[in-house]
Amino acid sequence: MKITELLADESILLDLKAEKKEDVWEALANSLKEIGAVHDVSKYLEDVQAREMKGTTGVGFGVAIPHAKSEGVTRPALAMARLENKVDVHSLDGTQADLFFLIAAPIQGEDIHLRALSKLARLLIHASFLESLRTAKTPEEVKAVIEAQES
Amino acid sequence: MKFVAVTSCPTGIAHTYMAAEALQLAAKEMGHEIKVETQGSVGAEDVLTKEDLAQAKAVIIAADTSVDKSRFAGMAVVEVSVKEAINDAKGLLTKAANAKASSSERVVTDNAIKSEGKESKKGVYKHLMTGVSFMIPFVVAGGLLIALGFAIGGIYVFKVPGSLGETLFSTGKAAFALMIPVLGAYISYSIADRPGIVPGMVGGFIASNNGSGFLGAMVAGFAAGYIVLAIKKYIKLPKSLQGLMPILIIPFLSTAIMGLLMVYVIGKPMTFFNTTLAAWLSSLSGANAVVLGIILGCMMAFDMGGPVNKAAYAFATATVASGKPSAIMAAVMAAGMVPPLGIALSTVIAKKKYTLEEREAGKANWALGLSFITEGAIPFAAADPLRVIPSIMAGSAVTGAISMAFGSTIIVPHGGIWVLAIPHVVTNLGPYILALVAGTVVTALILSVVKRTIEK
Repeated sequence: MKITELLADESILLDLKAEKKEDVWEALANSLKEIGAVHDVSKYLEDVQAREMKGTTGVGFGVAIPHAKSEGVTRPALAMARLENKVDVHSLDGTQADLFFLIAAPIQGEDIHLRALSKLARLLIHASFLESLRTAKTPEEVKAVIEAQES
Repeated sequence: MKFVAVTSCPTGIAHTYMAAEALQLAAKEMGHEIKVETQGSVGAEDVLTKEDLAQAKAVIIAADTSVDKSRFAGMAVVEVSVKEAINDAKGLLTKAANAKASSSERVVTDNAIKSEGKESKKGVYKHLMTGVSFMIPFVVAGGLLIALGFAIGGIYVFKVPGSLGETLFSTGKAAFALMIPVLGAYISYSIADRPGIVPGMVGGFIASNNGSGFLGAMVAGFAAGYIVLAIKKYIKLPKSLQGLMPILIIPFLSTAIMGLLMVYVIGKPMTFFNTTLAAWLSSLSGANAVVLGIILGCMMAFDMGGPVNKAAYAFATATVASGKPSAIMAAVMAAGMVPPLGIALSTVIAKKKYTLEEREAGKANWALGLSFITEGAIPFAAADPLRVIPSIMAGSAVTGAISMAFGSTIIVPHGGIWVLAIPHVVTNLGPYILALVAGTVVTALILSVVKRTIEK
C-alpha cells in the first residue's frame, strides 16, 4: 500500500494559515470529511487529541504526524498541510512545525495507519524530500514528490 | 564491513524507523552493509538472526527504551539514543567500526559524557519506572482478587479454607506476595539487564520478609543492579571460561552479596527500628487523641507494607483484639484507605500527569482503597516517592485527625467499605465518612498540584 494511495489531492492544503496545531488538525480533518474518509469529525479530533496526550507527534525537522484510530473514520486516509508560518508542536528537537501529516484509520482492521506512518517517517530523513515538499507549488507536485521518493 | 542494529523508541511510530533509515542511508554512503531490526508499535521487524549476528563487526543499539542485550553477549556494542542515530548516523557507524568486543561494555560517546548529569537523574527514574511497570499488574490483580474475596466471604473470609471467597482471597495474596520481589527484580533488570533479575528478585523477597517493605525492595533493586555491573566490570575471566559468567559466576556472586547486604546492612537496623517503633507507639496511648490520629495517619501512608505502616497497623489491631470498639483502629483503617483513594481521584482530575499504565492502575485503586487495601498506592509511591509520599501522608493525617476528633470507633480490624454497611460495626458513621472523603480530597489536590506533567 503506497502513501500516495491514501492521499487525495483535495486533502493537500498548501499555504494554510493557522495559529496552533489544533487549528491545523481541524482543517485537515474537515478536508477528510469532504472526501468521505471521515464521517464524525469531532469524534475523530477527540481521538487525535487523546493520542497526542500520550506523546507528542512533533517528530522534529519541522514535521508533525498527528494520527488516530477512531470510530469517526470511514476509511484510511492521509491529509497534508503546509503552513505559511510555523506553529508549536512540543517537538522532540524543540523546533516548530510547518508540515503536518494527519492520518485517519478506522477502528476495525489492522494498523494500516501505523505502517503508512512508518513509511512516511523513513522519508523524512532525506533532506531533499523535505526540501521538495516545502517548494512544491501544487498538490499534484506534492504527490509526485512523494511518489518519486517512495520508489 | 557488516553491521547489525536495533532501533527502538517509546511510541514506536516514527523515530524507530527514522533511525533505521538514517543508519541504512549512512551505511550505503560509506560502503558498509547493515541490517536493522526495528522495534516499533507493529512489533519487531527484520529481526536479527544468529547468522546476522555472527557476520557483524559490531551491533548498534539506538534506543530510548530498554533493549534485551543478552543475544549480543561477546559482541562489540555501541549504545546510543535514537536521536543520535538520526542526527549523526555516519559518526555512529565510524564508532561501531572501531568498537572492541568486551563483556558488553558501553562505548561512551561525547554526547553521553556531556549529558551524564541529566542522564543519572533520568537513569534513576527510568529504573524505577521499569520496576514499577512490571509490579503494577501484580498489585492490580492481587488487590482486586482480595477485594473480591472480602466481598464474597466477608472480612473473615480467610477463616473458611476451600470456599470460593477464600480461594480468590489467597490467590490475591499470592500475587501480593510477589509484588515486592518483582519490584526489586525489575529495577535491577533495568540497570543490569537479565543478570540483574536474580539478585534483584531475591533481595526484594528478603525485603518483604524482614519487614522493610517496598522501600527496602527499591534499595535492593538498585543495589542488585549496580552489584551486577560491578561484577561484570571487575571480574575478568579467560575467554574459555567466559561462558560461566552469566550462568554461574554472576548469579551466585551477586545473590550472595545481596543476601549479606539485606541481612546485615539492612535487616539488622530494620529489626531494631521495628521494636523501637512499637515501644514508642505504646507509650503514646495517653496522648491527645487528634495528635495521635495525625501520627497514625502519617505512619499508615509513609511506607505501606513497610515497618512504619505495619507498626501502626499492629498497634491498632491490638486495641480491637478483645472485641472492644476502638477509636484507634477506626482512624487507622480510614487512614489506610486514603492513599489509594486519593491517588485514584488524582489520576482522574490530573490525567496529564500520569502514564497510561498509571491511569489504569488508578482505576483499580478505587476498588482497592474502598477495601482498605493500602498496597494499591505502592506503585505510585515507588515511582515518585518524593512527591507521592508526602501527599498521601497529608491526606491520611487529616483523615486520622478527623476520625479521632469525632471519636468514631470500630470493632473489626479490616474490611473497608464492606464493614461500613454493616450496622453497629462503626460508630459515628457520618463523621467517619467525612474523614475519609476529606483525606481523599486533600491527597488528590496536593498530588495533582505537585506532580509534573509527563514529557514526551
